Amino acid sequence: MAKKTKPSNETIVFLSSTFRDLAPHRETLKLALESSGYRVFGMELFTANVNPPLETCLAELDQSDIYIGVIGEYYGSCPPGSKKSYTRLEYERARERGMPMFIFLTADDAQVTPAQIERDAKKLKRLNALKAHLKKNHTLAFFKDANEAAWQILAALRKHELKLREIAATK
Amino acid sequence: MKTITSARYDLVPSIRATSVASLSPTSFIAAIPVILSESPPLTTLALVEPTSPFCCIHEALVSRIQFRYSVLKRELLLKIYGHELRCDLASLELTLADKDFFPWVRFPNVPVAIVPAKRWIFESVQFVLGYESCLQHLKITFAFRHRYLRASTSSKFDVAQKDAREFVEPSGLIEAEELFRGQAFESAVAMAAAALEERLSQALGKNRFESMSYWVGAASVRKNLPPNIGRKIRRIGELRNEAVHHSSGKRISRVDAQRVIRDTRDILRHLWLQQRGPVT
Repeated sequence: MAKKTKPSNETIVFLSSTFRDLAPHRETLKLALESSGYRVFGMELFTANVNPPLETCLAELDQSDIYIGVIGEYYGSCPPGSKKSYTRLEYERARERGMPMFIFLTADDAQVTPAQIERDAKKLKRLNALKAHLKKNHTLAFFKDANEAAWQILAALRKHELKLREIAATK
Repeated sequence: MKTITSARYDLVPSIRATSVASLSPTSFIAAIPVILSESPPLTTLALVEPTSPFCCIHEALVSRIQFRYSVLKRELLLKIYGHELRCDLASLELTLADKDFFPWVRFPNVPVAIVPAKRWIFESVQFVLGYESCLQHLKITFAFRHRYLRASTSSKFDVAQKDAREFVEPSGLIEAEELFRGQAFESAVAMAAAALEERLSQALGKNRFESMSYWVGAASVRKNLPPNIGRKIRRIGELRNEAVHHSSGKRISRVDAQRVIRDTRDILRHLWLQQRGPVT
Protein backbone atom coordinates (compact mmCIF):
# COMPACT_ATOMS: atom_id res chain seq x y z
CA MET A 1 0.00 0.00 0.00
CA ALA A 2 1.30 3.43 -0.88
CA LYS A 3 2.01 5.43 2.27
CA LYS A 4 0.12 8.67 2.66
CA THR A 5 2.24 11.72 3.33
CA LYS A 6 1.27 13.74 6.38
CA PRO A 7 1.98 17.43 6.96
CA SER A 8 3.66 17.85 10.38
CA ASN A 9 0.88 20.05 11.83
CA GLU A 10 -1.98 17.80 10.76
CA THR A 11 -3.74 15.57 13.27
CA ILE A 12 -5.08 12.34 11.82
CA VAL A 13 -8.12 10.90 13.53
CA PHE A 14 -9.04 7.27 12.96
CA LEU A 15 -12.80 6.83 13.07
CA SER A 16 -13.70 3.28 14.05
CA SER A 17 -17.29 2.05 14.03
CA THR A 18 -19.58 -0.40 12.34
CA PHE A 19 -20.96 0.78 9.01
CA ARG A 20 -24.39 -0.78 8.66
CA ASP A 21 -25.99 0.94 11.66
CA LEU A 22 -23.85 4.07 11.92
CA ALA A 23 -23.43 5.26 8.31
CA PRO A 24 -25.22 8.62 8.90
CA HIS A 25 -23.18 9.12 12.08
CA ARG A 26 -19.95 8.51 10.18
CA GLU A 27 -20.82 11.08 7.48
CA THR A 28 -21.70 13.70 10.09
CA LEU A 29 -18.60 13.01 12.18
CA LYS A 30 -16.36 13.09 9.10
CA LEU A 31 -17.77 16.47 8.06
CA ALA A 32 -17.51 17.88 11.61
CA LEU A 33 -13.93 16.67 12.05
CA GLU A 34 -12.65 17.64 8.60
CA SER A 35 -14.16 21.11 8.79
CA SER A 36 -12.46 21.52 12.17
CA GLY A 37 -9.06 20.88 10.67
CA TYR A 38 -8.60 17.16 11.36
CA ARG A 39 -7.84 14.58 8.73
CA VAL A 40 -10.07 11.54 9.03
CA PHE A 41 -9.14 7.95 8.26
CA GLY A 42 -11.83 5.33 8.23
CA MET A 43 -13.47 2.60 6.23
CA GLU A 44 -14.89 4.95 3.56
CA LEU A 45 -11.37 5.18 2.18
CA PHE A 46 -10.77 1.44 2.06
CA THR A 47 -13.04 0.32 -0.74
CA ALA A 48 -10.74 1.27 -3.61
CA ASN A 49 -7.79 -0.47 -1.99
CA VAL A 50 -6.52 -3.83 -3.24
CA ASN A 51 -5.44 -5.07 0.19
CA PRO A 52 -7.76 -7.17 2.36
CA PRO A 53 -9.86 -4.91 4.63
CA LEU A 54 -8.30 -5.83 7.99
CA GLU A 55 -4.76 -5.25 6.78
CA THR A 56 -5.89 -1.96 5.25
CA CYS A 57 -7.78 -0.89 8.40
CA LEU A 58 -4.83 -1.56 10.67
CA ALA A 59 -2.32 0.07 8.30
CA GLU A 60 -4.45 3.24 8.29
CA LEU A 61 -4.79 3.06 12.06
CA ASP A 62 -1.02 2.81 12.47
CA GLN A 63 -0.64 6.10 10.59
CA SER A 64 -3.20 7.91 12.75
CA ASP A 65 -2.63 10.07 15.82
CA ILE A 66 -5.94 9.63 17.64
CA TYR A 67 -8.42 6.77 17.84
CA ILE A 68 -12.15 7.46 18.07
CA GLY A 69 -14.42 4.46 18.64
CA VAL A 70 -18.14 4.83 18.12
CA ILE A 71 -20.00 1.77 19.34
CA GLY A 72 -23.68 1.22 18.60
CA GLU A 73 -25.94 -1.76 19.11
CA TYR A 74 -24.47 -3.82 16.30
CA TYR A 75 -21.32 -5.95 16.60
CA GLY A 76 -20.41 -5.70 12.93
CA SER A 77 -18.72 -7.99 10.47
CA CYS A 78 -15.65 -10.05 11.22
CA PRO A 79 -12.67 -10.74 8.98
CA PRO A 80 -12.60 -14.29 7.60
CA GLY A 81 -11.48 -16.76 10.27
CA SER A 82 -11.90 -14.32 13.16
CA LYS A 83 -14.56 -14.15 15.86
CA LYS A 84 -13.60 -10.57 16.64
CA SER A 85 -15.16 -7.80 14.57
CA TYR A 86 -13.17 -5.21 12.63
CA THR A 87 -14.20 -2.61 15.19
CA ARG A 88 -12.91 -4.73 18.09
CA LEU A 89 -9.64 -5.50 16.29
CA GLU A 90 -9.14 -1.81 15.54
CA TYR A 91 -9.74 -0.97 19.20
CA GLU A 92 -7.22 -3.59 20.35
CA ARG A 93 -4.57 -2.32 17.93
CA ALA A 94 -5.08 1.29 19.08
CA ARG A 95 -4.73 0.17 22.70
CA GLU A 96 -1.58 -1.81 21.94
CA ARG A 97 -0.08 1.25 20.29
CA GLY A 98 -0.96 3.45 23.28
CA MET A 99 -2.82 5.95 21.13
CA PRO A 100 -5.03 8.64 22.74
CA MET A 101 -8.46 7.00 22.71
CA PHE A 102 -11.94 8.49 22.84
CA ILE A 103 -14.84 6.08 23.01
CA PHE A 104 -18.50 6.86 22.53
CA LEU A 105 -21.46 4.57 23.13
CA THR A 106 -25.14 4.97 22.27
CA ALA A 107 -27.11 6.35 25.22
CA ASP A 108 -29.83 4.27 26.83
CA ASP A 109 -32.47 6.67 25.50
CA ALA A 110 -31.06 6.85 21.92
CA GLN A 111 -33.51 6.06 19.14
CA VAL A 112 -32.41 2.82 17.53
CA THR A 113 -34.28 1.06 14.72
CA PRO A 114 -34.65 -2.76 14.68
CA ALA A 115 -32.20 -2.96 11.75
CA GLN A 116 -29.51 -1.33 13.90
CA ILE A 117 -29.65 -3.99 16.60
CA GLU A 118 -27.47 -7.09 16.65
CA ARG A 119 -29.63 -10.20 16.40
CA ASP A 120 -27.03 -12.91 16.21
CA ALA A 121 -26.95 -14.31 19.76
CA LYS A 122 -23.21 -15.06 19.69
CA LYS A 123 -22.33 -11.64 18.29
CA LEU A 124 -24.64 -9.95 20.79
CA LYS A 125 -22.75 -11.70 23.59
CA ARG A 126 -19.46 -10.46 22.13
CA LEU A 127 -20.84 -6.94 21.77
CA ASN A 128 -21.91 -6.90 25.43
CA ALA A 129 -18.51 -8.23 26.47
CA LEU A 130 -16.82 -5.46 24.46
CA LYS A 131 -19.04 -2.81 26.09
CA ALA A 132 -18.34 -4.21 29.56
CA HIS A 133 -14.61 -4.13 28.82
CA LEU A 134 -14.81 -0.53 27.58
CA LYS A 135 -16.82 0.60 30.62
CA LYS A 136 -14.25 -0.96 32.92
CA ASN A 137 -11.17 0.42 31.19
CA HIS A 138 -12.16 3.82 29.77
CA THR A 139 -14.06 6.97 30.58
CA LEU A 140 -16.90 6.83 28.11
CA ALA A 141 -19.26 9.40 26.66
CA PHE A 142 -22.77 8.61 25.44
CA PHE A 143 -24.67 10.01 22.45
CA LYS A 144 -28.29 10.00 21.38
CA ASP A 145 -27.77 10.88 17.71
CA ALA A 146 -25.11 11.74 15.12
CA ASN A 147 -25.10 15.44 15.98
CA GLU A 148 -24.64 14.87 19.68
CA ALA A 149 -21.79 12.46 18.91
CA ALA A 150 -20.14 15.19 16.78
CA TRP A 151 -20.43 17.76 19.58
CA GLN A 152 -18.98 15.39 22.12
CA ILE A 153 -16.10 14.31 19.92
CA LEU A 154 -15.11 17.88 19.02
CA ALA A 155 -15.24 18.88 22.70
CA ALA A 156 -13.15 15.85 23.70
CA LEU A 157 -10.55 16.60 21.02
CA ARG A 158 -10.39 20.25 22.02
CA LYS A 159 -9.81 19.27 25.68
CA HIS A 160 -7.12 16.84 24.58
CA GLU A 161 -5.37 19.57 22.56
CA LEU A 162 -5.51 22.00 25.48
CA LYS A 163 -4.01 19.35 27.74
CA LEU A 164 -1.18 18.75 25.26
CA ARG A 165 -0.54 22.49 25.06
CA GLU A 166 -0.45 22.78 28.86
CA ILE A 167 2.03 19.91 29.08
CA ALA A 168 4.17 21.51 26.36
CA ALA A 169 4.06 24.88 28.18
CA THR A 170 5.23 23.40 31.50
CA LYS A 171 8.25 21.70 29.92
CA MET B 1 -54.31 17.74 -0.21
CA LYS B 2 -50.73 17.95 0.99
CA THR B 3 -48.59 19.87 -1.50
CA ILE B 4 -45.47 20.51 0.54
CA THR B 5 -42.99 18.02 1.92
CA SER B 6 -40.40 18.91 4.58
CA ALA B 7 -37.30 17.48 6.19
CA ARG B 8 -35.35 18.66 9.21
CA TYR B 9 -31.59 18.40 9.59
CA ASP B 10 -29.26 19.20 12.46
CA LEU B 11 -26.60 21.80 11.73
CA VAL B 12 -23.22 20.08 11.95
CA PRO B 13 -20.91 21.62 14.57
CA SER B 14 -17.41 22.68 13.67
CA ILE B 15 -14.45 24.34 15.34
CA ARG B 16 -13.07 26.80 12.84
CA ALA B 17 -10.09 28.25 14.64
CA THR B 18 -8.17 25.38 16.25
CA SER B 19 -5.56 27.81 17.66
CA VAL B 20 -8.10 29.59 19.90
CA ALA B 21 -8.16 28.11 23.40
CA SER B 22 -11.88 27.62 23.58
CA LEU B 23 -13.75 24.44 24.34
CA SER B 24 -16.91 25.30 22.47
CA PRO B 25 -17.50 24.80 18.76
CA THR B 26 -17.69 28.15 17.04
CA SER B 27 -19.50 27.50 13.81
CA PHE B 28 -22.14 25.33 12.16
CA ILE B 29 -22.28 23.77 8.74
CA ALA B 30 -25.54 23.50 6.82
CA ALA B 31 -25.43 20.17 5.06
CA ILE B 32 -28.03 17.87 3.53
CA PRO B 33 -27.40 14.19 2.70
CA VAL B 34 -27.59 13.36 -1.02
CA ILE B 35 -27.87 9.96 -2.66
CA LEU B 36 -26.03 9.92 -5.97
CA SER B 37 -26.22 6.20 -6.56
CA GLU B 38 -27.98 3.35 -4.79
CA SER B 39 -26.06 0.47 -6.28
CA PRO B 40 -23.17 0.77 -5.74
CA PRO B 41 -24.05 3.01 -2.80
CA LEU B 42 -22.92 6.63 -2.90
CA THR B 43 -24.34 8.86 -0.17
CA THR B 44 -22.63 11.96 1.12
CA LEU B 45 -23.36 15.15 3.01
CA ALA B 46 -23.68 18.10 0.61
CA LEU B 47 -22.99 21.68 1.61
CA VAL B 48 -25.86 24.18 1.23
CA GLU B 49 -24.16 27.02 -0.68
CA PRO B 50 -26.56 29.55 -2.27
CA THR B 51 -23.68 31.65 -3.67
CA SER B 52 -22.80 28.80 -6.01
CA PRO B 53 -24.92 29.06 -9.15
CA PHE B 54 -24.76 25.34 -9.82
CA CYS B 55 -24.37 22.21 -7.79
CA CYS B 56 -20.70 21.21 -7.78
CA ILE B 57 -19.15 17.79 -7.48
CA HIS B 58 -15.50 16.96 -6.80
CA GLU B 59 -14.03 14.88 -9.62
CA ALA B 60 -12.78 12.33 -7.05
CA LEU B 61 -16.36 11.58 -6.11
CA VAL B 62 -17.25 11.06 -9.77
CA SER B 63 -14.42 8.59 -10.21
CA ARG B 64 -14.97 6.84 -6.85
CA ILE B 65 -18.18 5.24 -7.98
CA GLN B 66 -19.41 5.49 -11.54
CA PHE B 67 -22.92 6.87 -11.64
CA ARG B 68 -25.03 7.98 -14.55
CA TYR B 69 -24.69 11.53 -15.83
CA SER B 70 -24.58 13.21 -19.21
CA VAL B 71 -22.25 16.08 -20.10
CA LEU B 72 -24.21 19.23 -21.05
CA LYS B 73 -21.34 21.58 -21.74
CA ARG B 74 -17.57 21.39 -21.84
CA GLU B 75 -15.48 24.16 -20.22
CA LEU B 76 -18.02 26.13 -18.23
CA LEU B 77 -16.63 29.19 -16.43
CA LEU B 78 -18.00 29.31 -12.89
CA LYS B 79 -17.36 32.21 -10.48
CA ILE B 80 -17.60 31.39 -6.75
CA TYR B 81 -16.13 33.48 -3.89
CA GLY B 82 -14.16 35.45 -6.51
CA HIS B 83 -12.55 32.26 -7.84
CA GLU B 84 -12.94 31.33 -11.48
CA LEU B 85 -13.47 27.62 -11.96
CA ARG B 86 -13.28 26.02 -15.39
CA CYS B 87 -15.15 22.74 -15.43
CA ASP B 88 -17.56 20.53 -17.34
CA LEU B 89 -21.29 20.87 -16.77
CA ALA B 90 -23.16 17.58 -16.51
CA SER B 91 -26.70 16.55 -15.75
CA LEU B 92 -27.74 13.91 -13.25
CA GLU B 93 -30.67 12.72 -11.18
CA LEU B 94 -30.23 14.07 -7.67
CA THR B 95 -31.90 12.53 -4.63
CA LEU B 96 -31.89 14.41 -1.36
CA ALA B 97 -32.15 12.13 1.67
CA ASP B 98 -33.72 12.70 5.06
CA LYS B 99 -31.59 12.86 8.20
CA ASP B 100 -31.51 9.05 8.39
CA PHE B 101 -30.22 8.85 4.81
CA PHE B 102 -33.46 7.49 3.35
CA PRO B 103 -34.54 9.00 -0.01
CA TRP B 104 -36.68 12.10 0.51
CA VAL B 105 -37.03 14.13 -2.74
CA ARG B 106 -35.67 13.55 -6.21
CA PHE B 107 -34.88 16.20 -8.83
CA PRO B 108 -34.45 15.00 -12.41
CA ASN B 109 -31.87 16.52 -14.83
CA VAL B 110 -29.97 18.60 -12.30
CA PRO B 111 -27.06 20.57 -13.84
CA VAL B 112 -23.89 19.84 -11.87
CA ALA B 113 -20.40 21.28 -12.41
CA ILE B 114 -17.69 18.59 -12.26
CA VAL B 115 -14.80 20.44 -10.65
CA PRO B 116 -11.21 19.14 -11.03
CA ALA B 117 -9.49 18.32 -7.72
CA LYS B 118 -6.90 21.09 -8.01
CA ARG B 119 -9.61 23.73 -8.48
CA TRP B 120 -11.91 22.53 -5.69
CA ILE B 121 -12.37 25.36 -3.18
CA PHE B 122 -14.90 23.93 -0.71
CA GLU B 123 -13.47 22.50 2.50
CA SER B 124 -14.47 19.08 3.87
CA VAL B 125 -17.24 18.25 1.41
CA GLN B 126 -17.23 16.77 -2.07
CA PHE B 127 -20.70 17.89 -3.14
CA VAL B 128 -22.24 21.36 -3.02
CA LEU B 129 -25.91 22.24 -3.49
CA GLY B 130 -26.06 25.37 -5.65
CA TYR B 131 -28.88 27.81 -6.25
CA GLU B 132 -30.07 27.31 -9.83
CA SER B 133 -29.78 23.55 -9.97
CA CYS B 134 -31.28 22.71 -6.62
CA LEU B 135 -31.80 25.31 -3.90
CA GLN B 136 -34.29 27.38 -5.88
CA HIS B 137 -36.68 24.41 -5.61
CA LEU B 138 -36.39 24.42 -1.81
CA LYS B 139 -37.54 26.71 0.97
CA ILE B 140 -34.84 26.59 3.61
CA THR B 141 -35.37 27.87 7.14
CA PHE B 142 -32.53 28.09 9.64
CA ALA B 143 -33.20 27.81 13.36
CA PHE B 144 -29.77 28.66 14.76
CA ARG B 145 -31.06 28.76 18.31
CA HIS B 146 -32.10 25.13 18.07
CA ARG B 147 -29.24 24.28 15.70
CA TYR B 148 -31.26 22.89 12.81
CA LEU B 149 -32.42 23.74 9.33
CA ARG B 150 -35.69 22.78 7.69
CA ALA B 151 -36.01 22.25 3.96
CA SER B 152 -39.39 22.17 2.20
CA THR B 153 -40.37 21.64 -1.42
CA SER B 154 -43.31 20.67 -3.58
CA SER B 155 -44.53 17.16 -2.88
CA LYS B 156 -44.31 16.43 -6.63
CA PHE B 157 -40.60 15.80 -5.98
CA ASP B 158 -41.31 13.59 -2.98
CA VAL B 159 -39.91 10.12 -3.45
CA ALA B 160 -42.54 8.80 -1.04
CA GLN B 161 -45.36 10.34 -3.09
CA LYS B 162 -43.98 9.58 -6.51
CA ASP B 163 -42.29 6.22 -6.32
CA ALA B 164 -41.88 5.51 -2.66
CA ARG B 165 -42.33 1.93 -3.27
CA GLU B 166 -39.29 1.95 -5.52
CA PHE B 167 -36.97 -0.82 -4.49
CA VAL B 168 -34.33 0.36 -2.03
CA GLU B 169 -31.59 -2.07 -1.11
CA PRO B 170 -31.42 -2.84 2.61
CA SER B 171 -28.29 -1.69 4.39
CA GLY B 172 -27.22 -5.31 5.02
CA LEU B 173 -26.99 -5.96 1.28
CA ILE B 174 -25.13 -2.70 0.76
CA GLU B 175 -22.63 -3.73 3.41
CA ALA B 176 -22.32 -7.18 1.82
CA GLU B 177 -21.35 -5.44 -1.43
CA GLU B 178 -18.78 -3.35 0.44
CA LEU B 179 -17.30 -6.50 1.98
CA PHE B 180 -17.27 -8.19 -1.43
CA ARG B 181 -15.34 -5.28 -2.90
CA GLY B 182 -12.90 -5.63 -0.01
CA GLN B 183 -12.52 -9.34 -0.90
CA ALA B 184 -14.01 -10.50 2.43
CA PHE B 185 -16.13 -13.10 0.62
CA GLU B 186 -17.23 -15.12 3.68
CA SER B 187 -18.33 -12.01 5.58
CA ALA B 188 -20.11 -10.78 2.44
CA VAL B 189 -22.08 -14.04 2.20
CA ALA B 190 -22.99 -13.94 5.91
CA MET B 191 -24.06 -10.30 5.65
CA ALA B 192 -26.21 -10.86 2.52
CA ALA B 193 -27.87 -13.85 4.23
CA ALA B 194 -28.57 -11.70 7.32
CA ALA B 195 -30.26 -9.08 5.12
CA LEU B 196 -32.36 -11.83 3.55
CA GLU B 197 -33.30 -13.33 6.94
CA GLU B 198 -34.48 -9.93 8.09
CA ARG B 199 -36.58 -9.27 4.97
CA LEU B 200 -38.11 -12.76 4.93
CA SER B 201 -39.00 -12.35 8.60
CA GLN B 202 -40.76 -9.07 7.81
CA ALA B 203 -42.55 -10.36 4.69
CA LEU B 204 -43.47 -13.92 5.67
CA GLY B 205 -42.78 -14.22 9.36
CA LYS B 206 -45.20 -11.53 10.54
CA ASN B 207 -42.15 -9.64 11.87
CA ARG B 208 -41.08 -12.56 14.07
CA PHE B 209 -37.39 -13.00 13.42
CA GLU B 210 -36.36 -16.43 12.11
CA SER B 211 -32.88 -17.54 11.09
CA MET B 212 -31.77 -18.70 7.65
CA SER B 213 -31.98 -22.38 8.64
CA TYR B 214 -35.69 -21.88 9.31
CA TRP B 215 -36.34 -20.22 5.95
CA VAL B 216 -34.53 -22.94 4.00
CA GLY B 217 -37.25 -25.42 4.88
CA ALA B 218 -40.14 -23.09 5.70
CA ALA B 219 -43.61 -24.04 4.47
CA SER B 220 -44.44 -20.34 4.04
CA VAL B 221 -41.64 -20.05 1.47
CA ARG B 222 -43.01 -23.00 -0.55
CA LYS B 223 -46.54 -21.62 -0.29
CA ASN B 224 -45.88 -17.95 -1.08
CA LEU B 225 -42.86 -17.90 -3.35
CA PRO B 226 -42.15 -19.55 -6.72
CA PRO B 227 -39.92 -22.68 -6.79
CA ASN B 228 -36.92 -20.88 -8.33
CA ILE B 229 -36.89 -18.43 -5.39
CA GLY B 230 -37.10 -21.36 -2.96
CA ARG B 231 -34.08 -22.94 -4.68
CA LYS B 232 -32.14 -19.69 -4.38
CA ILE B 233 -32.95 -19.45 -0.66
CA ARG B 234 -31.70 -23.02 -0.12
CA ARG B 235 -28.47 -22.29 -2.02
CA ILE B 236 -27.90 -19.08 -0.02
CA GLY B 237 -28.56 -21.03 3.19
CA GLU B 238 -25.95 -23.65 2.26
CA LEU B 239 -23.32 -21.08 1.36
CA ARG B 240 -24.10 -19.06 4.49
CA ASN B 241 -23.49 -22.17 6.65
CA GLU B 242 -20.29 -22.80 4.77
CA ALA B 243 -19.14 -19.20 5.33
CA VAL B 244 -20.07 -19.08 9.01
CA HIS B 245 -19.55 -22.65 10.24
CA HIS B 246 -17.18 -24.07 7.56
CA SER B 247 -19.43 -27.14 7.58
CA SER B 248 -17.69 -29.01 4.76
CA GLY B 249 -14.40 -27.16 4.76
CA LYS B 250 -15.01 -25.66 1.30
CA ARG B 251 -13.70 -22.11 0.85
CA ILE B 252 -16.14 -19.43 -0.23
CA SER B 253 -14.94 -18.15 -3.58
CA ARG B 254 -15.48 -14.81 -5.28
CA VAL B 255 -18.02 -16.50 -7.59
CA ASP B 256 -19.96 -17.94 -4.61
CA ALA B 257 -20.13 -14.54 -2.91
CA GLN B 258 -21.11 -12.81 -6.15
CA ARG B 259 -23.88 -15.35 -6.69
CA VAL B 260 -25.21 -14.97 -3.13
CA ILE B 261 -25.35 -11.17 -3.46
CA ARG B 262 -27.04 -11.40 -6.87
CA ASP B 263 -29.57 -14.03 -5.71
CA THR B 264 -30.31 -12.10 -2.52
CA ARG B 265 -31.01 -8.98 -4.56
CA ASP B 266 -33.32 -10.99 -6.88
CA ILE B 267 -35.26 -12.40 -3.92
CA LEU B 268 -35.55 -9.03 -2.17
CA ARG B 269 -36.74 -7.47 -5.42
CA HIS B 270 -39.28 -10.25 -5.85
CA LEU B 271 -40.58 -9.76 -2.30
CA TRP B 272 -40.82 -6.02 -2.91
CA LEU B 273 -42.75 -6.49 -6.17
CA GLN B 274 -45.03 -8.98 -4.47
CA GLN B 275 -45.74 -6.59 -1.63
CA ARG B 276 -46.21 -3.56 -3.93
CA GLY B 277 -48.71 -5.31 -6.19
CA PRO B 278 -49.44 -4.33 -9.82
CA VAL B 279 -48.65 -0.77 -10.86
CA THR B 280 -51.83 1.03 -11.90
